[in-house]
Amino acid sequence: MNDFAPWQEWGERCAADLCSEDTQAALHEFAGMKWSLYLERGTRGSEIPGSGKISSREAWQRFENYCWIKPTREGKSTKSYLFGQLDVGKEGTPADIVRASASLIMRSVVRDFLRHEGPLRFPGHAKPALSLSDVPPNSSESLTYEDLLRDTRDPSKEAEFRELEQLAVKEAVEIIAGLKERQLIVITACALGIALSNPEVEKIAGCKKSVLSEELKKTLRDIEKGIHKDYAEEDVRGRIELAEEVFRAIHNICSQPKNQPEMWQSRLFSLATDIEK
Amino acid sequence: MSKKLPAIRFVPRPDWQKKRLAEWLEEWNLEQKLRGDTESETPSQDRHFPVIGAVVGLMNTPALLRTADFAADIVRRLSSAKAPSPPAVSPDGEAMRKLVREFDRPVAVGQVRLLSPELTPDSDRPVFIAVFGEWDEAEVLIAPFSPFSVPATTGEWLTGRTTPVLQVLEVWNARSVPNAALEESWRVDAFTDAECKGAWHVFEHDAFGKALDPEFEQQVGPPLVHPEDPRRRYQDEEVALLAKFQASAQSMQGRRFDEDDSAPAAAAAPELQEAFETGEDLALAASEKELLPEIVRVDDLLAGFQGEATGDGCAPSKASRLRLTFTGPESPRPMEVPAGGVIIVWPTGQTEPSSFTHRSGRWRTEIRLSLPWPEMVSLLREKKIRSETVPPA
Repeated sequence: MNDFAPWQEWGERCAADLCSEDTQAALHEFAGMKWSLYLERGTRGSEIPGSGKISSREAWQRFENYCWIKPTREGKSTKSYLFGQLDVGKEGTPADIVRASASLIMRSVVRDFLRHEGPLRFPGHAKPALSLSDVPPNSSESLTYEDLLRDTRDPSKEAEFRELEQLAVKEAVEIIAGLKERQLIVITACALGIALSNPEVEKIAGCKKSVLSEELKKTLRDIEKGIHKDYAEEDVRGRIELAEEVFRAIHNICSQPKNQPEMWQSRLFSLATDIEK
Repeated sequence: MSKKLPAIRFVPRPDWQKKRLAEWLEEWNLEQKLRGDTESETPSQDRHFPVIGAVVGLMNTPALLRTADFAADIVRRLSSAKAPSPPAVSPDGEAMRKLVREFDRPVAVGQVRLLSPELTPDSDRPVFIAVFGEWDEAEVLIAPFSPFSVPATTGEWLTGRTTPVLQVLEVWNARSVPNAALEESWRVDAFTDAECKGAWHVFEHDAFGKALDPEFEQQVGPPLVHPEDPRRRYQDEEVALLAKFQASAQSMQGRRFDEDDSAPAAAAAPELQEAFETGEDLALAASEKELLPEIVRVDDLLAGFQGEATGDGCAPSKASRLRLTFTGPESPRPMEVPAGGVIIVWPTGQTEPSSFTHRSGRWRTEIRLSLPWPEMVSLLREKKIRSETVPPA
C-alpha cells in the first residue's frame, strides 16, 4: 500500500470506520502521532498522567468530528479542502501534502481539547486558568493583561476630563520647552511617522538609530516618571490618564508645522512629505 | 509640593469582559505553544511603561505596517525553506473528482462557505466564511469565522453555534466582495435569518458605531485599546489570511466598475443615486419616500476620510436626526486626524465637536444632527453643509 492510498480511500468513503483495516490502521497511526506531538507541545511544563492520553483511534475520531460541520456530504467539505491542496502547486508527494494540511487541523483539535476538556481530563495537573494579573509572554513585569483592559472614563465627569486634557496640554508645552534638540528630533520624527532608522533622521540628529532609539525610550520614560513624581499624591490611575494625555498633546504639538521652524524641523517635515508621496 | 489633578473618576470594566479576555488569551497562548513558536515576540517598543508603549505604538506602528511586516515575514520564511521538491503528482482527473467536490454555485446571502485552498494559500486552517448581507449590486458582505471559541474584540460575535469552527464570526474582518469571488468555495451550512441579522447588527456596531442591542452586549468580545495587545497580532494574521482572496475579489470589482463605466449612466446607477447626482430637486423628492436615498456618501466632506450620512433609525424618511459617520484607515496617520475633533456646520446651526476614536484599525467619529433626514438630503445636495476641524484645546 503506498502512502497516499489510505488517504485516497478515506477521501472516497464517508468515514474511516468504513475503510479497510489497513487504511484505518494507517489513519489512526497518523492521528495518534500528531495528537501526541501537539499534546506534548501544549502541555509542556506540566505533568500529564498516562490516563489523560487517548488512543490513536479516538484521536482520529476527534479529528473527523472536528472537520465535520454536518453529517452530510456538504458538511464534510473539509475533505475537499484537504484534497484540494493537491491542486495548488504545492511541493511534495500527494501524501505529504494532505498529511501536512491534516496535521494543521489536528493542531486545532488538540487546542480545542486542551482548552475545554484539559482541566477535566487532567485534574490537578492542568495549568490553572490564566489570570489577568499575569504578565504576557516575553513582556516586562510591569505590563499585565489587566493593562489591556483598563477602566473607562466616567461619562458624568466629562467636564473634569476636559480639564485634565487642558492640564495635559499645559504640561506638554512646559515639557517640550525643557527638552534638548536631539530629544525633540526623535519625538518629532516619531510623531511624523518617520522611522528612526531612516538615514536622513540619523543625519539630522547626527547619531545612529540605536542611539536615537535609546534616546526616545529614555525621554519618554523620564517624562512619565516626572508626571508620577509631580502628582505623587494622586491616584495612580489618574496619573496614568494624565501621562497618556500629555503624550498625546506632545504628539500633536510636535506634528504641527511651525511658523518659524528650526532647520531640523523643516528637514523632518519635508522628509515626512517625501515619504507620504 | 505635589500637584493636583481634576476630580476625575473611572468606571471599572465589567467582570464578564475581563473573564472573556482571559479566556481568549488562554486560547491564543495555547495556539502559540502548539505552533511551536518559540521565537520570542520582540516587543516593538518599551514595555516597561505601558503608557509609553501605548503612545509610541500609536505614533509609530500602524496596523497596516504590521500587516506588511507579517506578509514580508511569510515571504521570508517561504524563501528560506528547504530545497524545492518536485511538485506533487496528483491523482488523475477521475480520482480527483471523487476526492474534491465541485464548487457550489450560486452564491447567496445566508450561506456558510469554505474557501478553496486556491483562495487561501497562506492559511494554516480551512477558512469558513458567512455570507451575511447583500451589499452593492451583485456583491455580498462576508466575514470569516475565528479559529477560537471566544470573541476577541467588540467586532467579534459569538454565534451560539457549537461546531468548533463556526462559533465566533470575525465581523471586524468583514468585506464586500462580488458574488463571483466566492464561486471557488463550497457551501457547508446555512445561517438562519436571525443569524444574518445578528451578524449585520454587530457589523453596524463595529463599522458605524451603532449601539448594540442589550441582548448582544455580552455576545461580543472586550474592547481593544492597547497598541501592544496580542489581539492586534491576531488581527494582522487574520487579515493576511484573506490577502489573496481579497486581491482576486478586488480585481473582479475593478473589472465590474470598468464595465459599469462603459454602460449608459441610467443603466449603471441605481435610480436613487441617479436622482441624487443629476440634481433633481431632492427637497421635493424627499417627500416621496421612494426617492429618498437611505445612505448618502459624503466622502468630500472631510479630506482623507470616507463619510456617509444616514437617517437615524429603521425608517430614515421619518427620522428627526442624521447620523454622519466618518471613517479613515490608519493612513491618514494620527497626525492628520483632527486632534480637537470635527464640527458640522449648516446654514442654521452647527454641532458640538466630535472626537475621533481608533477602533478596529480605523479612525471613526459619529455625529448626530437634529435635522430631518429629507432636509438633510437637500442640504447635502446643495452643498450647504461643511465640516470644520477643531484645533486641540
